[in-house]
Amino acid sequence: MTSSLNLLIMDPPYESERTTTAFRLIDAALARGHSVRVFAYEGAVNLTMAGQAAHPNPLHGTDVDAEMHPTTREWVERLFAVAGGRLEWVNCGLCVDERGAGDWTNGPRRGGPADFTGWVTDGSATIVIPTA
Amino acid sequence: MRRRRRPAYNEGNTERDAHAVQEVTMARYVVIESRDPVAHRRVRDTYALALELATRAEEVALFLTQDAVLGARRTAPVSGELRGLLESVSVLADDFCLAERGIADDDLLPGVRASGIAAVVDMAVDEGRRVLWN
Repeated sequence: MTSSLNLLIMDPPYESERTTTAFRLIDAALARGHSVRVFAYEGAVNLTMAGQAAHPNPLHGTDVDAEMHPTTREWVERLFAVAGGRLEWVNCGLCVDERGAGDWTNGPRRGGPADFTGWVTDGSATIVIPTA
Repeated sequence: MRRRRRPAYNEGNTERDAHAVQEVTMARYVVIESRDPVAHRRVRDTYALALELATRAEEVALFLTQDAVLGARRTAPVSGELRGLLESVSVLADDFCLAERGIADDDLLPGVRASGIAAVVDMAVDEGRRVLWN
């Protein structure tokens, strides 16, 4: 029996409901007291980009505060905040370089597929969320 | 040096196959589907996979999330296909996604249970089930 969950995610921000589902899984696992390790692959490395900013919605006539548009960067920051050291987040280095996505928020680190293969072979639970 | 003949794709490897079958039969699974079965024909493949695993594995659950919960309505045009799984597969529907789509528990196909996503965590981490997401 293990108390760690590994997640591999691939979707870029704001494209698929799978991103929200992945965040919900991470949150649920942390709430259960488990440790969570996330490997962000392909477009998912953009989830943590530091430059993400909320925006107003002229169509709705709302400003930034009223629109309450959450960014994926903020969600990741909040997950780190509640994790208390139980969340590890690795951004695939090659995917980062391809996308110029190296400026990310505090918490994630650069890594590679070897990180993920190491996690899945240590007996802990693993969920791979494919692209939509 | 004589090269070893490469086996054809459809040739059996008794030892390997026996090991694979043993792995399947000893395992418990969670199959996750997130697509609307009306819009995506391949959701039937996920149902078929869950059903096939249930004939061989110890225990199988199908967790429906996102648009896949639309197929769990008793009025869904494809509900008959899901109904066929219920005898051998535990079918769970993500309560968050049901609420987002205005689907009440009473709207669900009898036998489908609304469930929080933490159930996936429990089955994967605590019960050690293998998770397959299509």
